[in-house]
Amino acid sequence: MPEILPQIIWFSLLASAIYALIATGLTLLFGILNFINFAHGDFAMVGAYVFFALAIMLGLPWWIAVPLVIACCALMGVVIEKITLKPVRKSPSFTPLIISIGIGALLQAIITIFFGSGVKSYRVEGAETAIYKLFGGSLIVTQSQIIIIITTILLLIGLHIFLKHSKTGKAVRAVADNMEVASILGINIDKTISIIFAIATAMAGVGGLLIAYEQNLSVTMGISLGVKAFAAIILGGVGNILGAVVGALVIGFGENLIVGFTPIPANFKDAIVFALLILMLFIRPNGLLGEKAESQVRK
Amino acid sequence: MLNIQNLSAGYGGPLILHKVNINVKEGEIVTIIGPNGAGKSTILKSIFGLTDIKEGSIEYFDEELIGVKTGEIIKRGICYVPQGRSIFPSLTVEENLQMGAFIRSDKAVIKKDMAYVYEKFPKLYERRHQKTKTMSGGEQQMVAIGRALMLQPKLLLLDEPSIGLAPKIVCEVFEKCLDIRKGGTAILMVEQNANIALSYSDRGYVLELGQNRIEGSGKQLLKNKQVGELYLGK
Repeated sequence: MPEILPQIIWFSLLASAIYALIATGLTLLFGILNFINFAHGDFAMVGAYVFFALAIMLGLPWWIAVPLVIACCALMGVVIEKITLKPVRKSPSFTPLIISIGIGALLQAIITIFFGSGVKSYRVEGAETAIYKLFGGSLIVTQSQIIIIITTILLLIGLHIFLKHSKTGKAVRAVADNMEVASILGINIDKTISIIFAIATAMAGVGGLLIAYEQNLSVTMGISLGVKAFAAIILGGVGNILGAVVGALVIGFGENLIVGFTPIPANFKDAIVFALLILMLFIRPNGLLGEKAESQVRK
Repeated sequence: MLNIQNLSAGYGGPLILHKVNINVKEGEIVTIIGPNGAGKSTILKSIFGLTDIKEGSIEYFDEELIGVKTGEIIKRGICYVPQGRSIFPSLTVEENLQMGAFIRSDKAVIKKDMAYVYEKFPKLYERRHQKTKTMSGGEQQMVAIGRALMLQPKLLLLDEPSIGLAPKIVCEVFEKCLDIRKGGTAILMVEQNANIALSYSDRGYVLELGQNRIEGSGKQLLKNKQVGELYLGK
């Protein structure tokens, strides 16, 4: 048993947690609107920068800054949907897909105008983070990493409870299943879609700020995050929340274990993700938890 | 209770209905039959504001329904079961029923409504925690009808309730309709399965190319030579 195993598992969990936060939102949006939101990674990037502005530039304490990030991202999601996607709701699904690519580019441009294109960091010069050594020093864990894991687990449990047990959550699933029937039962479709956008973008924003807490911020950080979240939902089965989490775990563990135990260098992580994705599409095109696509023909 | 007069409607393009007249009295079962493309479903959709209405009126207890929002229509006591498997497949039976009462917030009332539906459909109670996508076509149709009954409507609109079901199950569905009517709910349905639907109906309308052709009691239409030749395969 190599000594680095606990550390690699820990890093895998961290990566999986972030991917899961972004992938669940992406899969929720797909479930309800039937399109892949290519701006989703950029929503995460915006979340990271909003936190930077509030906590680092304005110096607000985190317990004020984090709720504000959540509120800003949720509002951003709702407004963007109302302005850009609602008008094309009846169009074929490539229309919103192309629009989302444009939104991503726009968000990157706006952030660049305000913050510049250089890499930024939350870390304050000279400040020390708490570090814990476990398993006789073979596993080093920082406080911020523990916060990431706990936040992710709480958010995912919260989302599960919301969807399974609240009236609005059930309505969300009903709309995802059959929008037309949901509307004739008096379920407000526009409101439900807004709620989903708010949740999905807020979760992405939190994911973005958490990863920026651990690494750095850059305007282009969303691209790789979006791609990995996309791969996660394909791996797990599109439109399935549990599938998104499972897919995130497969990718988080896959890239870290392979980089950790094979001679493949770390900058090949993205390539590994895509290799996993292609392999999956060959073996099980519907994803690990996905169901066979229903036949369009009515019996 | 429902009075449709001179209704002309379509979906933005050419009109599908041309001056159609239909009425339903309280406690009646009324069936609209006619060939494919006659505009039968369009009538039900028009009641729910899902079409572009060019002229005519849809009065419900002497109040105009055209332009009224879906939520309000449901509150006034009309529920609609669209064609096909109009259930939420990934939701359980109970969750499907809860969605039927979405516009209600009083939990005690919802509970009472659910007890009413389970009493009408004991099978659904047995399977209340089952996801509806794992159920048979007949059971799914029962879920859809049960869901529409959650608000104990005065008028139930059924679009081809028997489509895709085995003959034995078809009878079961129509027996349920009689049972539902006993609870004080009138039914307006659209059916391809004209023979059996008419035999369960008080009155019927024959629609052709978006226009009224023949109307009469269920028995009259079943005996009517023209109807028999055209739609009942006699």
